[in-house]
Amino acid sequence: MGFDAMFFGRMDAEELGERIHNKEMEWIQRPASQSLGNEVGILFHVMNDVYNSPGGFCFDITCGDPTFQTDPTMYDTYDADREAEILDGYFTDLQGNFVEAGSDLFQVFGMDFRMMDAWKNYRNLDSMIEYMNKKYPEKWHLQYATPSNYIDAIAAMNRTWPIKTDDLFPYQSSPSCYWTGYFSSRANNKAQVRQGSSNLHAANSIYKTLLLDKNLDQELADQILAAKSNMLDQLGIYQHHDAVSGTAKQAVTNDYSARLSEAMAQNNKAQSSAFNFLIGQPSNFTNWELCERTNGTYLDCPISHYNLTEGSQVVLSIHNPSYLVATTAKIALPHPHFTVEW
Amino acid sequence: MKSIIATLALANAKPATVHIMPHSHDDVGWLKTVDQYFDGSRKDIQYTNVKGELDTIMDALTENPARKFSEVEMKFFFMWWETITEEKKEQTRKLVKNGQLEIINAGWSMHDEACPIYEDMINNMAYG
Repeated sequence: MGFDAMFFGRMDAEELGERIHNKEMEWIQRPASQSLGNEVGILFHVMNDVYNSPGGFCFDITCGDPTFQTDPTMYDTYDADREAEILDGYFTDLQGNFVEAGSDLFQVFGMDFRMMDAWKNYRNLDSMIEYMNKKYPEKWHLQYATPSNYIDAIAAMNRTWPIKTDDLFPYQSSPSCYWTGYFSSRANNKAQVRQGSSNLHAANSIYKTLLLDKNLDQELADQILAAKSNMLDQLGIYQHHDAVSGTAKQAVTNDYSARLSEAMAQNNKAQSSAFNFLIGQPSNFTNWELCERTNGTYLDCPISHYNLTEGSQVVLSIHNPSYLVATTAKIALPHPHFTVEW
Repeated sequence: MKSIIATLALANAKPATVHIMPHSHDDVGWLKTVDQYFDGSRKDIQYTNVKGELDTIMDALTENPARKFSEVEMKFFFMWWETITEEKKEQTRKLVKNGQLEIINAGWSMHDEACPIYEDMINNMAYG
């Protein structure tokens, strides 16, 4: 993906303790080092308190923390000096966690759904930055930043970091509290994500050839792109760390499920249209319809909705979207009165 | 003379730079659905309004060019983008260009690291 750096909280409590002790809160991660060797390196930076503002310094309207009031005429809310001392202590601790004393520090201000009133957040952060820089001119220089600003700053220092090649699982948020149940919880939803994923993958293998065909009409191209876009949208939100993980509320899980189900129905229609374009329609033919299940019976397929009478014909087409070659497919007939033409 | 000495002392001190990074972690669904989080419905479950966040963030950034913000979830950012005027879009583009607004991670959602299959992770990042 080309990322230079990764910032994260939620590190295993024991490992976090070790890393703070050893001043190893940053390292170079070498993903897939056995095959990629030293070609790829991503700077990992662990935040000491997940992705939270320093305790007591949330300035959003969703928090109950005091404001950083620097105006002494504000009779009962002015407390900037004490607040500055608390923050000084916090940054001093933070500084102690890194290898190079006196180096730049990185501190997030935010949490879940903060910035509901950005004005209040930024007004207080402005005051905090100005006051801290005035009170501790030799110790701290606070400035607004993005992760890139921090990475650029430390990259310019020509430092070296420890190397890590393995992963960070499993995660223990506190002693004996392992976040591992979600690997398998809400198995039905996890399965639905896989079905959606296969559906999109299969459709893409047809779409990609069609979209390059100059004879493709605009209407079909639009139908395909809309279906694909909806699939990527619904599959995308389903990959969220509270969606496919199974950690959302039941009503929210049902919402993901319904959204993907509708997207798949739309995508199946687009695939049927794509088939019409690709292999045409035999005469006396209604439409191509997709049988959504493998290893099912004909009752799972659209064919079961038709009243098949004597002389009815069913045309079957099999598409293998995998790169693995399959030479046989087993098809069960609705009943033994059918004859099969190959 | 006094003032010169004071200036020299400051120059020798070299304060440590503290990078202050404002952000918001906006779950694309958790206790509420993605749409409820965005438009501020169901305050009884959780008090949120991602639309309001992004509206006020962009205006607050415009007010003071020193301020910065890092935005993560492209699903919400796209939903928000669809609600704003061309004028606000231009204002937002300027904030990206001058470095006040940075898009980080930039997946459609901030995908889970354990449950998804790799193809879905790549699609999530590519679509975002």
